[in-house]
Amino acid sequence: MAATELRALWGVAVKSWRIFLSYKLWFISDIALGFFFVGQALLIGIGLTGERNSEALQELTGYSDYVTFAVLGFMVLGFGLTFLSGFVWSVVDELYAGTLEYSFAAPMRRITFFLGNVLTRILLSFVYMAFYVPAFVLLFGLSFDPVAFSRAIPVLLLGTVGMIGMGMAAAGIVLYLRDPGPFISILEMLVFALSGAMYPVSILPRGLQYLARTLPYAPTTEAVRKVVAYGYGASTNEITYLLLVSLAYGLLGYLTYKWSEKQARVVGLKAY
Amino acid sequence: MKAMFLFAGVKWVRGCGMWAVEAEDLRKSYPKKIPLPFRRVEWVEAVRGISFRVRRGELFGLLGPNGAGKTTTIKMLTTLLEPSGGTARILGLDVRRNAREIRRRINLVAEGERTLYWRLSAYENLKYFARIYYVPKDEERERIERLLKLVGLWERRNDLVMNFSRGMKQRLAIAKALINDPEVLFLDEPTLGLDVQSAIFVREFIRRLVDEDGKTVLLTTHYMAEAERLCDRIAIIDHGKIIALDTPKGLKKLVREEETIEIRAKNIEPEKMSSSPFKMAVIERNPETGVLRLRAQVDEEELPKLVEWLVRRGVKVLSVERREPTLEDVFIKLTGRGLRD
Repeated sequence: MAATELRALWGVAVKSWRIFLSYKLWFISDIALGFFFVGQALLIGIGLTGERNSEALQELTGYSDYVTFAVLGFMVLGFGLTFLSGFVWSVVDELYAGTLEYSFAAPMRRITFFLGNVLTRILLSFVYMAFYVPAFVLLFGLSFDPVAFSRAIPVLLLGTVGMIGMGMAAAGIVLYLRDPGPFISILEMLVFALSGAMYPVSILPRGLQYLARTLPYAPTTEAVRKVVAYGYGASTNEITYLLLVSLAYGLLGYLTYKWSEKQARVVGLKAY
Repeated sequence: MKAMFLFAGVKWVRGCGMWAVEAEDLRKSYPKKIPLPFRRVEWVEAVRGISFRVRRGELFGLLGPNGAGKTTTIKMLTTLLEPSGGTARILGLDVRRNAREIRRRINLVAEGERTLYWRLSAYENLKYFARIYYVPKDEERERIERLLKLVGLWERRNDLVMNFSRGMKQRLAIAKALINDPEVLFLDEPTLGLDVQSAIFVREFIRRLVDEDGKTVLLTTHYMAEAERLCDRIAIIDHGKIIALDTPKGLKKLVREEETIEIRAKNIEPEKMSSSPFKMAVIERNPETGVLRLRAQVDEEELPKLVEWLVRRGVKVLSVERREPTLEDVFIKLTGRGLRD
């Protein structure tokens, strides 16, 4: 049973990968857009602080080098967004293409369908990182330490639980909306703004700080940064908080999605 | 322990019964708007308590005009929609409780041509569906090859679906629907929009699936000739209700031959026809000549009155003939209008 579900998961991932590759210009524009977006944010940050190393940033985050701070945040956010976009766009893309009904009529579990799409996007985000990191090293002299970064992988995986939950909750809402496009755009912008990827969450107005900390992205970014810079011993508070947020989102995502799927079958939304 | 065996036995008997599809007082309502807390929503009844049974190895048709509730019925039977009321069982399994088990044993061809992945090849499409329908790894390749050969697309297996004609896409959709060797096949308007040759291929293929492979097929259509030629039994559905169910021959017996009239006429304004007191419908229009074919259910006494009624409305009657009844006549008799009205 598990083997057949795994084969289904792989089937979905391969299908998504092939479809993505069939749009060759998308692939190029995705890399270019990501690069320009991050590059610009880095330049603005450097412009505002006046130099790469900032005492204020050091006080707030423990990082004095803005480029290292931002690239690390961007990598965590890029990874985290794959779950959100993997879940919501897998529904929306197939909905617009008209193929969702056939996939949902199959015995494969729905979660397999979503995770298969996420798997493709994770692979893509690794491919993008393979372009970005050397480019940032070359252009900005980024000091990227793979060993220090790999230390934080367990923390990233812990945050993944919450990010999957967030993706499932969003997919549940998308199933329920007649026109999900604007909702997804707003959600992605909100996640980006509140992720703490490009600036510390503590500089946000108090209300937004609370909001940022109730989403799984900023706590993951902060915990990863702290573990990379100071190790696990000094990061207990961040990891404990991340654990709570992740579990809460995991549960919330599962329940929201189950409810929404049931509702969609009752009211006949989308391809149902 | 004894109860468990008894329960398992009942389940086995149900699963192996003679009925492939059973619907009892099946209902479905849709909300006009998305239901949200504190929002009053009006519900529309799309299917209003239909009951029918399909035998194993039978080709059963749901015939009705657009919006009659055919697709909604198929979606409930294929577990894509939750019924609002009544019960439905597929191969003895309840559609509410055993959705995944049912999905393993059935398959469907949905309406429309955008149901497959156009940016994948025919082979890649079938490979994807083989995976999500749990086709065993060692059978996958052989099954895909056999199906593509069966629908005449093996030579085009590596071509992208976006380059296929409408007929080829439909043949591929049928191959997809056979990927898990389903016991019951649901086909929603399988020949809609196809050219004549493709439609003939699809009809013959469906008939062979039943006659040679013993598959159970439930199809929906609004083409009377298709239903008449293909189906063992037909349920005529209108406004969410089954208004007649029988063999094509049995249904046609509902209309007496001497009552069936075909009129060829010109200068007909459709809005004037809607107020007709007669059971009558336009069944064909020739846009070039402006000639229309009308079918009417009138007896000898009513016929002169019908002709007079038409002439008074400026209609130029070209000919009036008695004809052998068709399923369209059955529908006109039962509803007072045509399938296309």
